[in-house]
Amino acid sequence: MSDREVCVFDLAEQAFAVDASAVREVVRVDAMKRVPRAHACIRGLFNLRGQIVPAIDLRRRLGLPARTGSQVLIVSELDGELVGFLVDSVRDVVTLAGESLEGVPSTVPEHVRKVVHGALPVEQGWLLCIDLALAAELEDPRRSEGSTDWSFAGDPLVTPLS
Amino acid sequence: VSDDIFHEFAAETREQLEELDRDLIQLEAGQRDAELLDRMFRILHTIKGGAACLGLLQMEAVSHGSESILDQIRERGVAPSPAVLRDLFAAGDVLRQLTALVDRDESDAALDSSELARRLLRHAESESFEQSFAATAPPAALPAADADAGKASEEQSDSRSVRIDVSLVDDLMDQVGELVLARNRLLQWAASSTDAALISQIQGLNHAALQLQGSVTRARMQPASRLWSRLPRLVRDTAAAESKQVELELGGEEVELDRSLLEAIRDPLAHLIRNAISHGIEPTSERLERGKPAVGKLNVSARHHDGRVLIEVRDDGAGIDVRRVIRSAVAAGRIAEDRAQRLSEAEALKLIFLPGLSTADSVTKVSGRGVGMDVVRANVERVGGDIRIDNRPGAGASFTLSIPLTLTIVPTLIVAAAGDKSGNTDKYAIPQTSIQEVLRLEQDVNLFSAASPALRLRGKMLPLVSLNRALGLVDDDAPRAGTVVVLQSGEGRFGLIVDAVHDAEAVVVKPLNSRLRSLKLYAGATILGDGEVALILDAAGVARQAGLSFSEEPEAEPVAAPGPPVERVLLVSDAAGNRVAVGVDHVTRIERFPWEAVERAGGKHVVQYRGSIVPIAILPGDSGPVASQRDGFLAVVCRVHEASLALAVHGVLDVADAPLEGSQQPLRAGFTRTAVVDGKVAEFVALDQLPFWMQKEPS
Repeated sequence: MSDREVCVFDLAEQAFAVDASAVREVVRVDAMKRVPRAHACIRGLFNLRGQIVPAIDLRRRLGLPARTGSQVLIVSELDGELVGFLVDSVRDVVTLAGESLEGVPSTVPEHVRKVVHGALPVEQGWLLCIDLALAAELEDPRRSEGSTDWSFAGDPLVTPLS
Repeated sequence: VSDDIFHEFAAETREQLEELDRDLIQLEAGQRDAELLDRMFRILHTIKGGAACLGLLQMEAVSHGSESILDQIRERGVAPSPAVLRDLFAAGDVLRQLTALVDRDESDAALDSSELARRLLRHAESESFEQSFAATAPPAALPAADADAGKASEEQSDSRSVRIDVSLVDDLMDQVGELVLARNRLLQWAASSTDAALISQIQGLNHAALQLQGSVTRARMQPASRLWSRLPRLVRDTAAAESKQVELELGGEEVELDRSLLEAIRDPLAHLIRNAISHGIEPTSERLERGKPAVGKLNVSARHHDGRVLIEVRDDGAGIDVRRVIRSAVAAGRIAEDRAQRLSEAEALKLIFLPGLSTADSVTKVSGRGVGMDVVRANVERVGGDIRIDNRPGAGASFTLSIPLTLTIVPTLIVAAAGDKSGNTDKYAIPQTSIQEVLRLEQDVNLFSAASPALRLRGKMLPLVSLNRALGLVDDDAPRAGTVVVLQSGEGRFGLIVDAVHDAEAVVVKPLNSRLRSLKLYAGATILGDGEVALILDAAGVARQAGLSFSEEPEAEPVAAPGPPVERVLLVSDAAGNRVAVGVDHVTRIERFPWEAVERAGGKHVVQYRGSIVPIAILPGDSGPVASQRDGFLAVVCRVHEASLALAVHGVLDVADAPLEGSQQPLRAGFTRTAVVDGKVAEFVALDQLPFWMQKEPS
């Protein structure tokens, strides 16, 4: 595998990536309907052109501090169902030529490793590649995911390679 | 070859196998007319041909073997032996399993059926033929022309229908739902427009959208015969396992209902049928002893009633032994013995819906394992249905499922729960099927205890649940006065306190994402007319979340020792402070109407209430509603001679039992009698002689 297309997005001042092929669309949401008694990571339901789609709060899922400002949703289709993932902002789809996935740095906490399928080396550091299918698996509805403050070494900001 | 061809082949084959099953049962029953045999042969031949084209070798071999047997029966006119019939039934089952494999894009080689295929061919081989087939009278030969005619008309009807993937119809339904919402928004907008041309265009669109919605809804409908087609086989197998003789009668196959509903009641129906055969219908010897025909009768029928579909499973067996049901319930610790003794027959019958109850003396192969009716009821209620039992001890029992016509578009009541921090309230939809009535809590009529809130509604205790608390939106929320939606869930009746009641709205139900389905609180989600997402509440789920348990309390409290006859009345007061009694049987609701709601029609004052126009009546002696509060007046909504009226009252005092004896003649016109109720005099108003609040001449 030589070229890898990833969609790069921000969460709590850190950059992450998902496989571009897993992203169906990126939408801005203003109205969300909360779902009482649902898993803490499910922020609510939103209306995507008539389809009712649950939104998983990726900050919460990864144990990052909560945020109240506007966010965008990465919509993905998992097992025939649409699922949205709330992120701070989406930067771009970039092609990383000749890069392959490497092991996840050991500084990354265990609960994050579980939903990451590798790290991509970029110019200024690493880019954690999130597996959306794993991130959408919410097992214990009561447990909140991990600590609320972590970041891994280095500045992972990426400059898109064209 | 594209996958579609395989799926299409699987879908067609599945239908043909159902037909084959029905035909096999007729063959087993001794029928061997040319039409039947030709049809069976044709089905097997079609399957064989399709399987050969698609390289499905196992399927080809099994259908070939069966086809050869059919050919022999046709040629020689002999009856198949039980062994041959058994293998033919087995062939049908194996073909079904192979079809399922094909449908899942798996190879049919995964199921080795070569042994069965060989056996089938052996049956058909001429030398073993005479042993395999019990020779009996030759079949009644039918003119071949008849069979051809039947075939021709079948082909004709085939060309008038097309096979569509169900998911396509579901997509259409979704898109129509969207269109309806867009139309709703346009209509709202048009209401404030003065552009006549625009309004007329929007009305045209409105009309088209309504028709489209109707058509697509119809496209999702399927006849009950889809459900019936599997029953002969089920009855045959169950009866055989129980060594009983049962004749199945099917009715109402043309009654149509939504595809998803058909799926939803498939299992409950099968369960009721198995129960009827294994618990209801007696063994042959016992039937003969009781002077009944040896063959038990099982009748399954569908019919329309009141905008719902009724599906009835009726048997002519022994009926339900209510004493035994009570004994089992007591033995299982589900109900206290002394309480059980006081139950009425109808209440005792409902005990069969308690989990873990089995009335079968012995555990048989097909049923009586103690799982059952509770699951049946839960499944039926999940789709907004209910079950009624009609028990005739000694003569049989019937179970009637009452289910809505469609699941996709459901009439609901939209209610509000506590707002979030920014003050926006959340809207929830409650299916009308679970709503009994809506009440406004008036502190002076209702009883609260903080620990287990309940209210006395027409003499019965109604447990109260706060929607906000059930949803975990607030912790401290002691039930306050407000609006109570009275819900009937399978286990019992309860009142749901909501923050507000909005409109009634027919909504398009969308399934919840699988990540949320474990939440039993919700039956689905929907998009309201304003584009907002709303969750649809599941009454039984809300009751469970709130920790209500009805299982030991069959709804109606047994009536206490008979005392003097009483009438239950609602005590209200008029403007002059007189106590006036209104029979509760007539009362639908106590409501506060705002002054703005009062309109005039035909010289009377009227209000709009739940979609109809209701005249305002006043108590004899009053001149109009009392402006007791600035924001409106209090009225008791009553039904008198099938019509509703809103009786304006000054205040609502209590609900009480009024003695029917010892009352006196009325003291004035407009009343029927006077009596002492709860120690004070009350006048009983004549509801059918109430004066209306007439419009005054402008002064």
